[in-house]
Amino acid sequence: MDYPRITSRIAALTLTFVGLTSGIGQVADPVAKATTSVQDQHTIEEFERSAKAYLAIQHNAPSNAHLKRTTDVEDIEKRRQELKKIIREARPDAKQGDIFTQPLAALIRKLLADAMSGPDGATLRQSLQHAEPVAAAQAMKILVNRDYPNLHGQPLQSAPGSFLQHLPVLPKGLEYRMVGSTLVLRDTEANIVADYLPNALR
Amino acid sequence: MLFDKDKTHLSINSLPIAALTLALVMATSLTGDQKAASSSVDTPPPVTLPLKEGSIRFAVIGDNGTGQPPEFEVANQMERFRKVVKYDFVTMNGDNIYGGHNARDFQMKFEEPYKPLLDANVKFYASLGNHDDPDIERNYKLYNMGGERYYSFKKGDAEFFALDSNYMDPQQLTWIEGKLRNSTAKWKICFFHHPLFTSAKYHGADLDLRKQLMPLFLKYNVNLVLSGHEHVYERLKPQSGLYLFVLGNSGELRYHNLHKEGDKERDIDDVGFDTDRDFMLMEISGDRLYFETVSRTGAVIDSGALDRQVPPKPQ
Repeated sequence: MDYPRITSRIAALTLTFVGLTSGIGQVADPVAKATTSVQDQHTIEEFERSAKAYLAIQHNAPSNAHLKRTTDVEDIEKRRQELKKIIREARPDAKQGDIFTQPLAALIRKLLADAMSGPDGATLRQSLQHAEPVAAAQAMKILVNRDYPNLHGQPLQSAPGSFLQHLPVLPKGLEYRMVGSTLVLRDTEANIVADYLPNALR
Repeated sequence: MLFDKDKTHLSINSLPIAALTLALVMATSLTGDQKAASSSVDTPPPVTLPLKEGSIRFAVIGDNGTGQPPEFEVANQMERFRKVVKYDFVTMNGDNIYGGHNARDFQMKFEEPYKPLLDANVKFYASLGNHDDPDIERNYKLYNMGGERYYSFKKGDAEFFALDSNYMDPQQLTWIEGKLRNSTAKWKICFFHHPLFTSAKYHGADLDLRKQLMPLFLKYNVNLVLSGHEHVYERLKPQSGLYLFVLGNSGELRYHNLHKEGDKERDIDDVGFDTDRDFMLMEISGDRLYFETVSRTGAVIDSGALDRQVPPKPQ
């Protein structure tokens, strides 16, 4: 498999998506798609479907579970708690690997390995190190449907742009975060872990 | 080179830092509590800005949200200067709230320290730091983020772009490129948490972010960049003509964290200050931006004027 080529194709695909929409599931640049392996395209499409299905729970939640602009922080927190409850109830048996399926996990690990060994590798490594890496103890707390471990003031580890460009685009409402070497799929509205991928960076 | 360097101009007045440091250490030891700093609120502040009619005036803070006495002391100075400068908005370089993010935290770390400013209808425009809770803060109305992680707003001839440097995803890069491309503002000012350049030792510059943003800033003639994260103050030497400040010590402070003067790493700074907290005042009038940096005790650390960079004429 020609992974470096896939990496650049995914980046092109990413940019195409971004230009088209804030969401996912759009038809990618046909040229990019034609040169990406069919298997990888299939894996990414599958991922897009899972992410969309996950977000449907959010979108279908009653209005009191949607974050709203207000000066009342308690109200924002109340809404977030309500949304957490709804998501947890909607997927009580969710487990690691439901969204980051095995083929996707393999693809992401490979894409990230390529990114780290590519021309951006040194600055990426430096940026990750400077991004207040979250302690390994925090990584231990990562579980699907659990709170993302930043509730007591722990910093959110920043994700370098070049790093994100190597990953499939996410729709609004989900984001990637690194916790140690674990890649977390974070629900940004409910602040819970939708899925995670251990040893994403080796 | 995208700016004509010959047409940029800086006039700067900064105190000798060693003398200032000594003065501040003495002042700190004499007036080291919140009450003492507030007692100076009634005396006229040393304003160096020209206060021209019709100018855009604002203040800048960064890494402020501790809820500790130094944050209140800086806020007291901000109110003291506001009475004369009459600025009507504040930009925030991130780390707006440290620690927990419940309603009481927002009161103790934001609403109480800046109450006089909020009561005077001064608007705060926040950018997100790594200690911030992005989802609560973007929805917190007093931060004026419009529910978004990144956003822009206009004030007279200036357009401000608040970025989320914690998560520079392709969507955000596309957004900022589109915004800058279409902006007709005379002054384009970007503010965000992580510095592209710094001589501070704790984190250092974010090289990946620099690689992503500098080409866009230069291509679309951004004039000024404000960042925090490092708990110091720095006026950097213009980089490819771009003016940059680091201000991450409006609440937090990392004492003596800048490389020593004379070290090659320090060459990047025109002025650095790492022995107390501070905030900045800015005034834009026509093609000139005036600035004044004020310490927790009310001393003027740095001041000067920057001329708007002249974009090259199309070939």
